[in-house]
Amino acid sequence: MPPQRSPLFPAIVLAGISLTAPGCGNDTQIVADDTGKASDAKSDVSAADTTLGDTGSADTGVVDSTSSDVTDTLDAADGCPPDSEIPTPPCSFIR
Amino acid sequence: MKLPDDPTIAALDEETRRAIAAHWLHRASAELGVAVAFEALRPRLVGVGAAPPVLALADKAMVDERRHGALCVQLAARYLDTDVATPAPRDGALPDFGTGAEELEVALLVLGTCCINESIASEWIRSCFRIATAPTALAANRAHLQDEIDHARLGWAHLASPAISDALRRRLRPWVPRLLDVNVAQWMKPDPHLPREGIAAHGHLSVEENEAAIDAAVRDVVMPGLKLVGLA
Repeated sequence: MPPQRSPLFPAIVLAGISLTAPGCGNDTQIVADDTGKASDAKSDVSAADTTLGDTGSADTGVVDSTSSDVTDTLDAADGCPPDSEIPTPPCSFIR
Repeated sequence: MKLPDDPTIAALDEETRRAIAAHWLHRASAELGVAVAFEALRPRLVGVGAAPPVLALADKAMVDERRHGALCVQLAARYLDTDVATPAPRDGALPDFGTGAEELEVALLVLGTCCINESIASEWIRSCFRIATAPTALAANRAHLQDEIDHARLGWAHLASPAISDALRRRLRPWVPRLLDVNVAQWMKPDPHLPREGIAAHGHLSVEENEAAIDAAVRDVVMPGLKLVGLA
């Protein structure tokens, strides 16, 4: 079974960044626009979710890392405490 | 929120209904706690010169989370078929990272709460929505998702804004991997109220689906976002 993919990058990241730094990520925005999913990202997300199974339609093509890449690309950190001492901010769904 | 008629709930056995209700009551407490957290975060965002769109999203988040808490109570009541009391908010105190630098503390709070946790939450809810067929679950997850996306946007808007200087970005960067690790670990914990196989029709993921949703959120949303704002 292929790994699940999230189509939310344009709706969350690009739309968020565009609020305060319109020039940031322009290249990515163009890619997203090509999918037709970045012009009104939030409503597009609602539309995609309403139709379900539309998980690939907002694929921006800019994400090609695998799950293991996520940790592989994060180099060991300096200047901050060990994991056991890092507090977790609140979130609605953390168990 | 007016929930749709849903005959599928009455068709569930009592144990399953109680399990789902327990989940929603837990969520209610958590949502109300996050409202408290956003209320505490808002003045600190002002203090570090956050941009007006960021402050507007923080204002919206406070209201959203309180509404989400009420919706979760409403959902628990529906699955129990009786009124239930609103639970106390879970501890919404903002953590102290011990850096002694307010700009860095606020940036870490935004990174953890919004860029990481709310981005994951958005994909997680989208996954719940995708598997749900019960009208109540579809309506609830749709309502939650529309707002959670804004809460995640708050984070990306702030980290991309002029309020984050290059020097601050350099100080933030070493924190990213570990902040990501500790928060993802929290998300990976199975829901103690629900069976491992989930309850798909009512929008509750199995343990494997939960992990896949979190992996997708980190890989496809959080990591590319961090790269875009110069933090990965």
